[in-house]
Amino acid sequence: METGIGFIRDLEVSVGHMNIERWDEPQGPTPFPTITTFRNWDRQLLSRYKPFYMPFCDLCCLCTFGKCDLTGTKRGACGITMAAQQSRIVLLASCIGAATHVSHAHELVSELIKRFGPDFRLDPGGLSVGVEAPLIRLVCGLKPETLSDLETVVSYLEREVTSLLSATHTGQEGDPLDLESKVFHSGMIDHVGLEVADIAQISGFNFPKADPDAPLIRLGVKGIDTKKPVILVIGHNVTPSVSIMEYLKEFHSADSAEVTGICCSAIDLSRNNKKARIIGPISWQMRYIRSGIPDVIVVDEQCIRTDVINEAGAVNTRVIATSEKNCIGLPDRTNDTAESIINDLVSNKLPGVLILDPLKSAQVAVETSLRIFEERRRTHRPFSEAEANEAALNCTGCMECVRSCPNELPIPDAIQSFRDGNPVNLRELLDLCNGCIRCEQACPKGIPVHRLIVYSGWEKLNNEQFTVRAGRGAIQDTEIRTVGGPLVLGEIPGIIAFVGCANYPNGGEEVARMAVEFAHRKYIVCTSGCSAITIGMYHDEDGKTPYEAYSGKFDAGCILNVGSCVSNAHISGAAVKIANIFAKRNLRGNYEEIADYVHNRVGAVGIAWGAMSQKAAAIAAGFWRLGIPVIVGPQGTKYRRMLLGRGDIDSDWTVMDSRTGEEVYTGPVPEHLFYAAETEEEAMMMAAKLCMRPNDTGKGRIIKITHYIDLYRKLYGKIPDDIYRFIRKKGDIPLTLKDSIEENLKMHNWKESPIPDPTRIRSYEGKSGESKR
Amino acid sequence: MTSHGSWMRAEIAGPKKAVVINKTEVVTALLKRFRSPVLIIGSRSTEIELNGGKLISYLARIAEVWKIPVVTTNRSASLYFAEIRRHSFPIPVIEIANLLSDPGWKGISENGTPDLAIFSGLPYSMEWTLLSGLKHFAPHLKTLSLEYGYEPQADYSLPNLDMNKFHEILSFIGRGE
Ligand code: SF4
Ligand code: SF4
Ligand code: SF4
Repeated sequence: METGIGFIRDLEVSVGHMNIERWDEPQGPTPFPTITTFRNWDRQLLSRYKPFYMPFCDLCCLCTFGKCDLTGTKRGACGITMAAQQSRIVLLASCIGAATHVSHAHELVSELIKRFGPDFRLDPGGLSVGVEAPLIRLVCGLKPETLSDLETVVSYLEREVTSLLSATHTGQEGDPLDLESKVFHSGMIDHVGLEVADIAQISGFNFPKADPDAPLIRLGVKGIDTKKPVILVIGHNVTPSVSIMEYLKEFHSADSAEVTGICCSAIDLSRNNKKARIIGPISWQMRYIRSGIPDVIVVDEQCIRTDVINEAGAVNTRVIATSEKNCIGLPDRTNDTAESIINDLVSNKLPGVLILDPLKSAQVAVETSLRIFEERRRTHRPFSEAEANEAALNCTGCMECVRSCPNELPIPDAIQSFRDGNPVNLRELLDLCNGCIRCEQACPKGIPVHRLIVYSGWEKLNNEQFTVRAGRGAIQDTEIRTVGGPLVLGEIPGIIAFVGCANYPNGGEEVARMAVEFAHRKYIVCTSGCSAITIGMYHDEDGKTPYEAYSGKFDAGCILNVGSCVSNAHISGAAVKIANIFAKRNLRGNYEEIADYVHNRVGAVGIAWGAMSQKAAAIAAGFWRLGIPVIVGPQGTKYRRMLLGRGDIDSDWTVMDSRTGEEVYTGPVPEHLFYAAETEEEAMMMAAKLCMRPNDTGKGRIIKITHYIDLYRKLYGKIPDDIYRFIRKKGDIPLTLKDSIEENLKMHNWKESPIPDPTRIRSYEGKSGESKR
Repeated sequence: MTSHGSWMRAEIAGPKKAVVINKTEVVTALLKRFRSPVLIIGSRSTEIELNGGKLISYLARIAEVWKIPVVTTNRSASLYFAEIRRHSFPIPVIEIANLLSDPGWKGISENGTPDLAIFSGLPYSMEWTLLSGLKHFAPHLKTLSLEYGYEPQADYSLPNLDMNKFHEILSFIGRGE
């Protein structure tokens, strides 16, 4: 393979069997990029979107030279500055996230090879998806056709994550921007890992294949049939959960147990089997485990409460751990007979076991639940009214719970009302509560605060049935062809992707409201992971959930669920496919050109309103390298740095016009790359603003500006003062707002500017050269 | 209630922590000393209820008496200022913090870089992190937090207070003495 990169030569043996010859697209300049390949591109982005650091700690304690005080201009014993230290922490977080996804992908691929063999053909989209793996094609320059092709990709990803992690060692990378460039690299690697994982599981576990009409899945606790055994799966790696469904079908019947799930394992299980029930997002773990409903909990990996064994034990629920990465202290019974393990669980000799064999863990989960569930139903005693009253009586109003609650919920007042016979205030807290239990840890009186909140709200929970559309996976090539033009020209105002965890500042309703608002405004709304679940948990006036009310087709005014965390690859993949399928740009090993295209032309924005994990950091970083902005909620400032543009500095906002070779002013589009909003209204205003791109046509810009002004007005009650920066020609002015905008233009001595054929990569030389500027 | 230590228990700061303002006169002395202050009013200002009304009503009074330009970061505070027919600059909080970190920034109405940024009514953790950014990367600026919870990342902060005491302090500042 012709490439200047040593690694790819090393890989030639292992990729020798890949059907590269059958792919006639010429190899691009950067297959299998290393951690410095896109340093120039990253620096282009970072020259506009400068890091704004918000250290979470004045100190560094990463090595025994420390602790070092890095306050202000002080340097650590290794010479590092506070700015570099913050970038290093962001890189560490993003590496953790990328490593987690890549490892998850590796396990899925290995498991599927075990089941179906290495030559099993990938089929993530049937006939409607020709570009089956846009990110792998783009980054690796490969066209994967079989599971073993994915192994090649995973080897590359693992190598990159190791290099990236090594850059965080003491006395290694010390320049903040070089560290940031590595953050971007980790994000790009992460997205390739996501794609590997999802196309493998779609193909192997027969998930919906780019299906806009994927089935609606039951969501919530209402209607769980407790006359049957109830199994709960938590985590992200769907293999053990799918095995449970398969075992039930083969040895009992699919309906002989209720299989329920939380977080992404639930999402992915429902893609495999529409009978699975999704309980809720990650924040619902505690309320559901403590309800005592599940008889057996099967945990796999990622985002699982580490105290699951204690909480399950308290309600006599058995736990089965199934991942090498999450053994939670349980005895490894992988090599014992299923019967002996079941006996030990049924007799309560063991509260839980580790079984590193998905088929055996499925058998043990099902058989154990069948044997214990009737006894558990008889003996389980829910938190009683008397216990609730007694707990409430102990409250002294000391505020320690409030001072530990991430959302500062007014717990003592609510408990006081409860004592006075009014449970409404406590009940209302349930919608705002993230289930972290910090309040209980803090309470000097040992009051089970969260339990009390759930007790007050349970009846309401138990009466609400929602739906979420099963994750559809990829976006069809034909859908991309249809929307590519209107999106790139700006006539569909943008793609808004609601992604990430459930650490919401004011409960999940805000996310659902935002999704509906943008769908109503004819944006393309994509969802994934816990955000996808959360959005399903609301009804409109007609009693419909957003997935019932809006289409699942990738088009203006949709709300479509791509799937779990790993399905985020289809959102970045869709942006990339627009460049390839609509604009006919080569994908193969051609990252920089495609990122330049996406950044300048595809008005996409991610909103991770409750992002809290390192995986969410890595997912965000993958969007940043493509120049796609991400907005987080107020808790997101704890990621420690934002990437903010300065709309007021004109010289930051030029691109090269490919037609003339001249640098031209475009206005601050998009203005920021990583942004934390304080309120829902601000996030919406900013998302609309960040959808603008230099390439918008006059008609497209009018549409985008109209949404921006409207949402800005709703936020601040007037038209934005910076509107003149987004008007390039008089033709960009919406007629209905002509007078007020023209006044604004006059006030700011506005001058017309051209609408370029924009690029930022041609502003610097070659692939390895220095910046021209 | 202890008056020292972060309001949010786990958000421990240091070694460099805000000077705790135990005497209200210190705030008024600061307001007299700084040439170019700005008051940043967050979304919680219309939720927090004190004896004499919402937090924002105290802040509006303080801004008026001390002639401090106001930035409202959010919808409810902006509407409040519009209703009382007083001017505020609507700027998202992350953007104003970023602007404040730039010593070359010309100021909200190009009337000079602020030398004192006063924060009030923001979500606690968000204010904590933004103040940390300014503590480390805006040596040209001093920050003052007017919240009922101690914000250690500011240069100066009120201690942890009950609502009566908070009311007394804000009322005193609002008298402009
Ligand atoms: S890594 Fe550097 S700054 Fe951190 S503790 Fe070690 S010497 Fe100090
Ligand atoms: S910490 Fe416990 S005792 Fe104190 S206010 Fe909260 S619930 Fe009541
Ligand atoms: S469990 Fe809920 S109420 Fe308790 S601290 Fe966490 S978010 Fe607050």
